[in-house]
Amino acid sequence: MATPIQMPSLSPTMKEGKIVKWLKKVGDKISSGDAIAEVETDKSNLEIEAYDDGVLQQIVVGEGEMATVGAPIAYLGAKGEKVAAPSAAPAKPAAPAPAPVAAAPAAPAASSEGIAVLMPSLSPTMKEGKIVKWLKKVGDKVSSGDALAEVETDKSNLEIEAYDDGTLARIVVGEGEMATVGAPIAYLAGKGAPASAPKPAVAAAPTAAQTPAQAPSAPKPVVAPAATGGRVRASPLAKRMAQDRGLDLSRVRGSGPLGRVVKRDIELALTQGTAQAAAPAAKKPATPVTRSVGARPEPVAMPISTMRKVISQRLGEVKPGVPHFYLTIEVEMDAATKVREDAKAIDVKVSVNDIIVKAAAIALRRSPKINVALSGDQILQYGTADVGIAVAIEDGLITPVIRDADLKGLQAISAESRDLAERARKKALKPEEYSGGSLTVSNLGMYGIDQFIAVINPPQSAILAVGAVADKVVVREGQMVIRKMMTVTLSGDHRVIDGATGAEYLRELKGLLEHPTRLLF
Amino acid sequence: MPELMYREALNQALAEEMERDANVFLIGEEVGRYNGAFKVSQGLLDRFGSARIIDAPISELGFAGMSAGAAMVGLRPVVEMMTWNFAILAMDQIVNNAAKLRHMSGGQLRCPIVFRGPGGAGGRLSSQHSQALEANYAHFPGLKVIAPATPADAKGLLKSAIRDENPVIMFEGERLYAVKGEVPEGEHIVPIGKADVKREGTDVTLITWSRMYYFCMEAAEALAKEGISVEVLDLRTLRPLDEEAILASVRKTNRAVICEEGWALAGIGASVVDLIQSKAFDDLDAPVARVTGLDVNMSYAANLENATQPDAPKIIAAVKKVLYREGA
Repeated sequence: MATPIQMPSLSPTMKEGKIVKWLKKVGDKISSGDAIAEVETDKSNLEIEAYDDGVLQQIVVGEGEMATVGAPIAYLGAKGEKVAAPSAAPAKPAAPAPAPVAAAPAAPAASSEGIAVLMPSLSPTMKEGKIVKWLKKVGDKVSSGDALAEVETDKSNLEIEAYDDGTLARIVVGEGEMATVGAPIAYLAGKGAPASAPKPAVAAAPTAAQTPAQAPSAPKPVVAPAATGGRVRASPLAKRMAQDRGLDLSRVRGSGPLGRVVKRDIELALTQGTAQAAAPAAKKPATPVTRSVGARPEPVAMPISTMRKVISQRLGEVKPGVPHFYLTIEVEMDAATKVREDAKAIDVKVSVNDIIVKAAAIALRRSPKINVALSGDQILQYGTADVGIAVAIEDGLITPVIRDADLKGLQAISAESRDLAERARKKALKPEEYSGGSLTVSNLGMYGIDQFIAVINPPQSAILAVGAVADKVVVREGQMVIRKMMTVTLSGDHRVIDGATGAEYLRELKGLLEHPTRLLF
Repeated sequence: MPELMYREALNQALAEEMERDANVFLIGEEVGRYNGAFKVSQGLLDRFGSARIIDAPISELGFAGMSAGAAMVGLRPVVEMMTWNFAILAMDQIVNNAAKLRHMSGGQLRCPIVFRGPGGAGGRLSSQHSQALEANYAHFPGLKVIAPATPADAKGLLKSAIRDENPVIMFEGERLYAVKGEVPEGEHIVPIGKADVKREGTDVTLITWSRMYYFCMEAAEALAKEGISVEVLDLRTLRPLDEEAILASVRKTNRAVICEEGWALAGIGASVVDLIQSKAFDDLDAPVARVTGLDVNMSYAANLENATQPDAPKIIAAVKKVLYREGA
C-alpha cells in the first residue's frame, strides 16, 4: 500500500519547497536513498531522497509547484506492486494478490503506521516545538485543515493543522513534550488522503491520478498501536549513546527511515555541540541537555576552544582593568515598532535591532565625546559612526562592526547585519570586520531579557545592553497608558567618558528611537 | 606454505588421519576405483586398500546406517555422500540413530562419525541437486555441522571432525573443490565451533560461510573502494555457533548482514539474527539484514539460477541498507 513521501525540511528556516524537477516518474522503482526530486528551498536547490523502497505510485506536487514542509508530495507503493489501475476493488491486505490490486494510496499497510503528522516549522528560527495541547484525541476524525494541536515555538503559541483527512490513530508526542521540526508527532489512519492532499495531482499519469478519487475508504488494517507517549524512533545503539552522554534524543534530528535517529545522527549532534573543539575530543559529549531523575552523569571535561580562550582571557582583563559605569534609560518603542511594521507591509525586512543600530550610530555622530577609544596614552576621536553588533555563536560571541551605520539605510543595515551574523556563525568573518568602532549594541531582547548590564569590548568605550520591547503601563499626561517599552543600559569606560557624556548620548538615542523620523535627517 | 585445491586439502586430511589411526575408514559411492565423484579420495584406494576405502552401492540409507553401527563399536567412519541432496535418503540414520544413540544409551554408545559431501548449487543441476541443506542438520542436537570456505579450513576442520567423539556433518561445496589456497602441511587443526575474522573492518559485519564467503569478500573489496569498511566473519562451524565471535564483531561495528545460500525461512541466518538481537540489542544501529537464496525451487536455466542465488551486488545493497547509505 502506498506511503506518502513528504516535503522534507532541508534548512532550519525552510517552510516550504518548490519542486524544480522530478527525477523519477510514476511507475519507477525506487530504492531507499535514491534521489527522487530536486527541490528549491529558501537557501538552495537540493535533491531529496527516498527513505523507503517501492514504486512511485503518484506525484501529488508537480514541477514548479510549492509544498509546505511535511506535506505529501508523492506516494510510494510497496515493492513489486504494480502501478494501480483505476479499479474500485478494495484492497484485501491479507489475501495474496495474483492480479494487480488497486492501491488505496492512503490506506496504510499493516506494517506502516499510516500518515505521519510532522512537527512543522512555524518560525524561521524554530528547531523544535512543544505540544501545549492536543485539540483532537485518538479516534477523532480529522479533515485537512483542522487544527490538530497547539504548539509552542521559540516565538509564540500556534495551532497546527492537518494536511490530510483521516482518523487520529496515535499520538506520539504528548502534551508538554517537545519534538524536533520534521519529527512525527502523530499518525493518521488515512482515508483517501491523496484526494484531499493540498495540491491536486498534476504531473501524475492519468491512471494514477484517478486512483485516489476512486479508492474506497477501504478496509484498513490499521490498529492504533499501543500508545507509547513521546516515543522517538531511534536505533538501540543511538538510544544507548544518547543516554550515556546525557543527550536528549528528541532534540536529535533522525536521518534514518521514518526519521529514525541512528549512530551518525548522535555523532553529528555531539560534534556540533562541541563544534570548535576540532580534533582531539570532538566526540566528547556536548552540554548535557536534559536527563532523567536518578541518572547522575559525571561532569565532563571539555577542551576549551580557541575562541573561548580569547574570551575568557580578555574579559578577565576588562572588568578589573576598565572602570565601568552604568546608565539606564527607558525608551518608548511604539513608533520604532511601527517603522518595522511599515517596512514589513512593503516586504522589507527590518528588525527593531536594525533601527537601534542606526539610531546608535546617529547618536554617536551627534555626541562625538562618546565616539572615542583609548589608544595607549592617547584618546582616539572617531570621525565615523561604526557600530558593533554582538552575535552569539556556538561557543562564544563575536562583535562584527557595521561601518558608517549612520549613513546607511535601514534595509542596508538589516542586510549587512544578517550577512555578518550568518558568517559569524560560520566563523567566516575577516578580522577587519570585527575590529574598530567605539560602541557595540548587545541585544538580548529576543530572549525576553528586560534589562541587563554588558561588559565593554575594548578598545571601545561603551556598550549598549538592549532589553526586550514589552507592553508596559506608563503614565502619560497624568493617565495610565500602555506603551511598548524597552530598557537600554549603557556601560561606559570611565577613563575616557563621563556620566554626563553618557547621559547625553542616551538622551539623544532615546529621542531618535521615539521619533524615528529623525533617523531620516 | 604449499598452495592446494580444496579437494586436495581434504584428501590430505583424510590420508593423514587414516595414517594416524587405523580405525578410520572411508565409505561412499565411487570413492574407491573411481577416486571419488569429485576426486577427493584420489589415490586413497591404492594407498590404503579396499578394506578401508569402500565403494558402496547406491544405497545412502544403508551405508549411513552400517557406518553408524561401525562407529558405535569402535571404528571411525568417514561417510562420503556424493552430494547432500542424496543424503536426504539417509536422514533417518543420521538423525534418529547417529545423533541420538549416545543420549539414548545413557552414554554407553558413542558415535564418532563424519558425514561429508558437497552442498549448495553446482551449476545448472536444477532443483533436486542444487540445495543448501545445512540448516536442516544444524537443527538437531547431537550433531555438529561444519562448512569451511577455504582449503586450509577444509583440511583443519575435517581432521577435527574425524577426531571428534560425536557425529559431524561436513558441508563442502561443488564449486569449492577447485578453489586454491595456502594449506599448512601436516598437523593443521581448526577447532570445531570457532569462527574466523577473514577480513577486519569497522562499519559492518558480514557473517557468512562456505561458498558465500567468496561473494562476501568480493563485496567487501568493492565497498572498501567506497570507503565502507567491512568485517567478514566466516562462521566455519554452524553448530555450535561461535556466539562470542559474532557478538564481538557486531559490538564493534553495530551493524550486521548475514549471507547464506539457503532459503531464508528457518535458515541459519535467522538464528544468528536471533542471537544478535537478544544479546547485542543495545549495540545495534540498524535492523540486521539477510541475503539468502530466493524462496523458490532452483531453476535449470543459468540466468535464473544466478538470479536465485546471493551475489556480491545483492550483498552490497544489503550493506548499504544497514548503513543507511544512498543507493541501497
